[in-house]
Amino acid sequence: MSKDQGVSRRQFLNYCLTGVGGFLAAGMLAPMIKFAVDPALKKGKAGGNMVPVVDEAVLTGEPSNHGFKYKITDAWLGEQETELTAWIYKEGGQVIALSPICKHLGCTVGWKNDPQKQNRFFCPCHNGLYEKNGKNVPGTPPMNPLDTYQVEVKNGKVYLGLVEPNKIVGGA
Amino acid sequence: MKWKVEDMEQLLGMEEYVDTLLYPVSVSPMDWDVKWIADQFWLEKVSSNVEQNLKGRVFLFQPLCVARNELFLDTTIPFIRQNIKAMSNRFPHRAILTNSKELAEAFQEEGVIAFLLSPTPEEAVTSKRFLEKSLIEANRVIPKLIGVWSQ
Repeated sequence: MSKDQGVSRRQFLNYCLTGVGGFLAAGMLAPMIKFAVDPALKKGKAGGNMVPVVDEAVLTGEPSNHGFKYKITDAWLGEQETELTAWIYKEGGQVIALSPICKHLGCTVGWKNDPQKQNRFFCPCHNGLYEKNGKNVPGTPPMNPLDTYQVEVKNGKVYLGLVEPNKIVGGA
Repeated sequence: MKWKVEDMEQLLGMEEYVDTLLYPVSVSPMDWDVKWIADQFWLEKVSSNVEQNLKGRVFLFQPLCVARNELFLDTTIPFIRQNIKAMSNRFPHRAILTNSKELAEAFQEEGVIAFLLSPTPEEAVTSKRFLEKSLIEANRVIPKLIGVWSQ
């Protein structure tokens, strides 16, 4: 008689308990997993924004200074707009945007702003020098090249994003 | 513009490089009106733009706001003078940025670098034009300050 029965009472109860336990465990784990993975799946408000800065057509091989506003999301203050500038030029069809912040102590560098330092970025605070691609000139205070902005060109417009370490030079 | 503990730690870290004190002083009439705020905001924007450009060498002192009355020159100048004197050993270069012609002239006579601000723009303080003008004004001050270093 018992051999004909597919599921015994004991087995049935075990299945029920396992099923209920599984549901309870899933109910507890699901929010934890979502909490852990969610930030990685969300579009980064602080990181992903690219803002239009200048028409590609006006750029030349000579770095020119362009100001733009960038929205930064801060955990304490929420979304804030900050004013930034970039030195932008074209080289071999590629658009390069350099941060003007000196890597020595944070002053603002200028292109050819010292008559004796042609074709160089010059920091007036402590005489730091950088080449056109942002590479720091050895023997001057900065120890690293100027940072670059993330660049995207869409429909003839140059978009800039976050600042990142200079990848076009290897440093000096 | 407003000091934070981390700014101070950073400043102490680069102490040997920061040799210039910038002291913003805003003088406003006794009648309290919108221009008070605009004057102060103008001075803050210009001085923070200067600091932002030269932050590796310039220490921006907390701005001083003064309400002008008949005792203004007799009380304000000695107060600023003693502040500057107290910091003269630490900062070889000391500069005042002010909207008061009398104050600028008085300190220039004493050998302090004094920059007289252009009048506060008529535009709203939150307008883009106001901010642009503050950048232009800062760019007028910056070369003069750099010039002092190269002397």
